[in-house]
Amino acid sequence: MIPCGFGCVAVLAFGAAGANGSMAAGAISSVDPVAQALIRHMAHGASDAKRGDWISYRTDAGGGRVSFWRLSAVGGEKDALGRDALWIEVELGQHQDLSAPLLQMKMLVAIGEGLGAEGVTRLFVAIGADPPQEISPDQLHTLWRLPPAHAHGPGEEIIRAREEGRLMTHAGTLPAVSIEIYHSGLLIERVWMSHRLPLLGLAKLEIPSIGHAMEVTGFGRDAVPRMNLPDGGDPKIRLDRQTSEETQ
Amino acid sequence: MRALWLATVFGWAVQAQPSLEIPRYPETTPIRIGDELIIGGERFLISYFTTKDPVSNVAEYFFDKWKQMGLPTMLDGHPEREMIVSAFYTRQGLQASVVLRRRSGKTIGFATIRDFWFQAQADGGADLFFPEEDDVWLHDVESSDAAARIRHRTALIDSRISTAADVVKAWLANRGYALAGEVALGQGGGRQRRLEHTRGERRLVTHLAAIERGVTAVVQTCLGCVDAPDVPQREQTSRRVR
Repeated sequence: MIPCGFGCVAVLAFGAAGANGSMAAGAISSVDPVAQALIRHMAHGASDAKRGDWISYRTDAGGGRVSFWRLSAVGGEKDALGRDALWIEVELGQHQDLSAPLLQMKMLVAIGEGLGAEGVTRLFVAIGADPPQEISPDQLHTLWRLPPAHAHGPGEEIIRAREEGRLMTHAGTLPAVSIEIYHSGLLIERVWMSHRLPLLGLAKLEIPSIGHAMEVTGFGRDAVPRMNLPDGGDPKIRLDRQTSEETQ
Repeated sequence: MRALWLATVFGWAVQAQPSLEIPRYPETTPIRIGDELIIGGERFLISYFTTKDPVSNVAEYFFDKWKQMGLPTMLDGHPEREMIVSAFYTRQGLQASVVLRRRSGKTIGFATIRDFWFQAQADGGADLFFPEEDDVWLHDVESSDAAARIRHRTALIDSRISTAADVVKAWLANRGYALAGEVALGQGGGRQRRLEHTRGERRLVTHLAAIERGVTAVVQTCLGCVDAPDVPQREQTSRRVR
């Protein structure tokens, strides 16, 4: 139903967020800018997440391209490196209820780390109606690549933070700090962060130049697992082919 | 079942899944076709209904209903003659579809549930003739209800009917089947044949028909060829389809 390419891009998109939050330009280029920004936040975020935390977002990429995201911390256990870790579920769909997501992921993330190469030791992916599969743990490192030296090309980048104010969102009025990112004098991205929000702390995001936006629609502390996991004996996704294609 | 087992092992709660039924159209009586069908290795639940409503109205009903449920939904076809509406329950790995066709002033709707996560076991069909060479087309259908499980295999092979009959007889003889009857059908007796073989309680009927010069259709039906159903796999679909 969903082309494999979409799933591959989506998986790589999440994997492409480097540990320092910069984006790997290749794989990420086909994901819309709002999703890119979300992924960038995820690379930093979730480090102080607690079991049960969840947050949902509505993104608007213009032209009627609306999508919905949900992140939730649904379980905890030790990872293969002996670290305390959380199971984080990520869902992406075209309906607010996410009753039938187009993409589901479940990853084991070490507490204190972001959703990046250092933190994620297991990853399950379900694309469309296909059965969920686990990315082979010994292949996970191939998802993460070195970030480019400059995410937006050469030029001066300035980040301005404003004092905390009140922000009206779909999830209610929140205390939030506005952060503006300028590149070569142009406002590239405006972000509102709120300490009230779990996981990413991200309340709203705007990319004014292209009219893309993203906003929190709900959050809470009562998340439970929603993704059906594969049997342990099911084949794991191998990434050899994808990797070889990328290097061409 | 697997998800429930994992949930038990890891102490995870499993979210209640939304109820899913074989698609129904209001004020019609759905007629089930068997309990389940396995077509080409995939599991289907199928029923049909008839209504005086036009194809486009019925299609619109299902399209709107599934869209409102938040399901990825697709619509295709001609609004006056034939349309297909499909929705995908991605969490459960199921596809719900209705195939609508106008005939004799009525709309006939075939409603199906298809299980993407089910893969038929490669057993139970070993006795049926499998053309290793010269096959043009091969298709398996398995149906079951409370009374019996029946396996059908259809093949088109590049062979004359007499040669095809000899090959099938040899295939079954090698598997311990005895020829219980052979009948030539049709004008001249050369265009169609029916073979009947038995082995214990298994009964296997083979129809051969010459489709065109050098091409023969082989249709086999076997009663008792399918082993006991795979209970966990059946429950897996049942759990997701109510």
